[in-house]
Amino acid sequence: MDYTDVCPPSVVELILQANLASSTAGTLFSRIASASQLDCQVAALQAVANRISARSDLQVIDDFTGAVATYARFLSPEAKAAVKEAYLLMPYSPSVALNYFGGLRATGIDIRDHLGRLPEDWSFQQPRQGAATWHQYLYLASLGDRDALKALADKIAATSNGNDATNLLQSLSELKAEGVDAILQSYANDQRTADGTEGPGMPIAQNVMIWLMMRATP
Amino acid sequence: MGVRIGDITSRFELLDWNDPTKGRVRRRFVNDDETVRFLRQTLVADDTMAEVRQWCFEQGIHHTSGRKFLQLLAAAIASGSVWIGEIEQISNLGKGGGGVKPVPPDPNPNPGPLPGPKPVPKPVAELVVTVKDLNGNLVEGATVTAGSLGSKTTGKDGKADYGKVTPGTYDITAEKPGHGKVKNGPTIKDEKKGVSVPDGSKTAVDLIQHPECANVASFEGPVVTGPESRAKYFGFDPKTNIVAGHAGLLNPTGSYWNPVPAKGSAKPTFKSKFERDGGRWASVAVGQETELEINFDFTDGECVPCIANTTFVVEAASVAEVVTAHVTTRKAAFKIKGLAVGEATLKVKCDGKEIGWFHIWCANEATLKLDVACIITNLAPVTAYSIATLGAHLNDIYRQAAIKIDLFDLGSIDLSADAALATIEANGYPAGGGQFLKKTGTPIPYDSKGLVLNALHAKASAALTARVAAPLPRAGAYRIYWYVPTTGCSILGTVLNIGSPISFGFQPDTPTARNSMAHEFGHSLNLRHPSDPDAATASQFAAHNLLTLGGAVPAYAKTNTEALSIVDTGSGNVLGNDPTNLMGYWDDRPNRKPLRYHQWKAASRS
Repeated sequence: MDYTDVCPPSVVELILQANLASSTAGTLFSRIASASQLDCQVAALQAVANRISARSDLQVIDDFTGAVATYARFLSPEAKAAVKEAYLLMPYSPSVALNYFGGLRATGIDIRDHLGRLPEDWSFQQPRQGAATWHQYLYLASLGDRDALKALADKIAATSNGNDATNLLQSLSELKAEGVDAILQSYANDQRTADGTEGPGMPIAQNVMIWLMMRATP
Repeated sequence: MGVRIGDITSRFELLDWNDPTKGRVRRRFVNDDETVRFLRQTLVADDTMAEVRQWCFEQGIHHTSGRKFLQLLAAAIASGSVWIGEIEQISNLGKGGGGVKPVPPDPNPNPGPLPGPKPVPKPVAELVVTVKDLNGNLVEGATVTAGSLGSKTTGKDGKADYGKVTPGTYDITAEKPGHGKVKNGPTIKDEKKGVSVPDGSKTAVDLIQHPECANVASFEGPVVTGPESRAKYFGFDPKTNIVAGHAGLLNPTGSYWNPVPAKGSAKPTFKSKFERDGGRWASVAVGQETELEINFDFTDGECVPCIANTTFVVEAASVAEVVTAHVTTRKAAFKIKGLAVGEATLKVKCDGKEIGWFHIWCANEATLKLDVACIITNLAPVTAYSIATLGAHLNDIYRQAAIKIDLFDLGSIDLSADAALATIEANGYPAGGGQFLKKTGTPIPYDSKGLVLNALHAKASAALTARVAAPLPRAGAYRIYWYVPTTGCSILGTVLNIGSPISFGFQPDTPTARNSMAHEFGHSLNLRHPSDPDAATASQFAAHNLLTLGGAVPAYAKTNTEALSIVDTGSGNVLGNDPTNLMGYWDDRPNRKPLRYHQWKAASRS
């Protein structure tokens, strides 16, 4: 369905006027979402996918791929194809890894051949700080790559700090892939604690119990 | 030209036939005998006679005998090839608009009247004083004083022209506010004593007045009041390199230098970006601009030349550049533009000497998504909040770290029908009723904080994931829940753990509650309390500032970037050096906004 048929005129205008080569369009999907219904938002995603290019700004890429992950379950095969085409055109930077690979994970789009071998850096401690490799491996694991999942597990196992381990495990708990539950279960008795704002926070064991419960929820 | 005859008081000159007549009247004689008598009366002194003989020799009139010489000279005067001019009397000059008309040499002179007593003429000289700086530039507006001749002001050509003056010896000085005799020196006047200005000369004197170097008093953000005060710049950090001046804590004047050095005195030298020299840190995003000010201090009021004599140099020029610099009488307002990720130092230089500096942290601007939702349970009703107001507050703060917050309202999530959640939720409240997460009682509700909040988050997430209509939660977004218990809460807000993307606010929407949310969001970005004993804390604050944790907060002059002058006794989780830091617990919560250099670097950017 074309976005011009389902979006309010103001949103149509917003999309038409957006300069995807500029960071000024870096919050485009928030503005669309604030002024429209779901069918418009999904149609808008496909429309923007058709306009993504190698010159698109990184903040636009970050915003777009985040929207891909958000609306993944509502995308038609045609929309997914448009998104895949956009991925093959758009630039990649480690600074957008969270959403870039998040969109790929959520849609199951396989562009491993296109990506080739990306530089790896496992020195990160948190999944949101310099952790592009973490997100890349979450993507690979989501496609059934057992070695990738093992690398993720190894990273967690090598993390001694309870708070850092908590954040990595929490991130892993959002991955829909076979073998994740087993990794989480292996920490079911871990009494290391996260860092609360006033002293120690919850033990890893208690958090693992909650994450397993959330994963079991349809 | 001719030669004077007679002593110094004489008004007569021997002149060649074609010498100009201006200012002279021809002296006439009856015959040669009268001429000879006149010459003998006049040429008394030997030195005068010697000069006259020399002049006449050049005219072809010479004889070893004095008598014969005078006869030859008298004959030349009678023939008109030589004539005697009498300098006009001063009283005649200008009389009738033209004075006595000069008489041209007469080839057949007739006898004239005998000369009477004449007034003594004043000797004449000229004086011009030129004032330049040490680079050879002409200095306009300098005051030149030449003894009894008085004072004059130099024009655009740098000159004070005294015109005709009485020959003599003068002490000559030049001075101009904001200038001095040497670079960076204490001496103001340039002076030449005993300058000889001889009769008949045109004397030129050069003096130096070099623009002073201003003293850098402070670096600030522009003076803008109100919540938009950070609109013109990103981060401004006067605390990381704070000087150890007042009670070991603060510079009492708020000045950049402590104190501002006197004119010509030695100033601190640049050592490193982390020296406690008062140097500020400013942040700017790549491709964007930030506006800052340098305030200057002078010894004698306003000094535009002092600032004009100043240059701004970015070291690590690939990181940032000065885009514009607007100079006023006491300030230089300028914009710097971020060029690439990295750090740089902007040095203020004068005559090649560093007189001040600040440091620039440049980062790619990051946009972080933050979803906001309200959790409704039987113990926490729906609450009203403003996304726009919260967004403005958060962006006002995190802009300092070149982070833009993109807020989105998920609306309310009604979990009041969830019996299992209600059971867990009850653990957060005292058995007999009272505040949520109360820190006393048996059991202590606060001890169940993690369990209750994780349960609330899990249930809310499940509800959001199940949505098939807008608004949908955004993938990769941080999230803040408003959960406002009817009974109130012992704390303002919290985060599931440091670095967790999930945080809570427990108060109705007020400036204090919004600031609490900004603080908790900081925890989501891995920022820690200064009182946090974790090793990571050490990398998020300057070590000397951490040492002031819980110390007394002294008064300090307000800067443009902070709210008020503060005096208080020490309290927990407050830095004496930096009480309004966002990650502390200072009571003035709406104004608890600053983030500092180490926090800019430490904050998560994805």
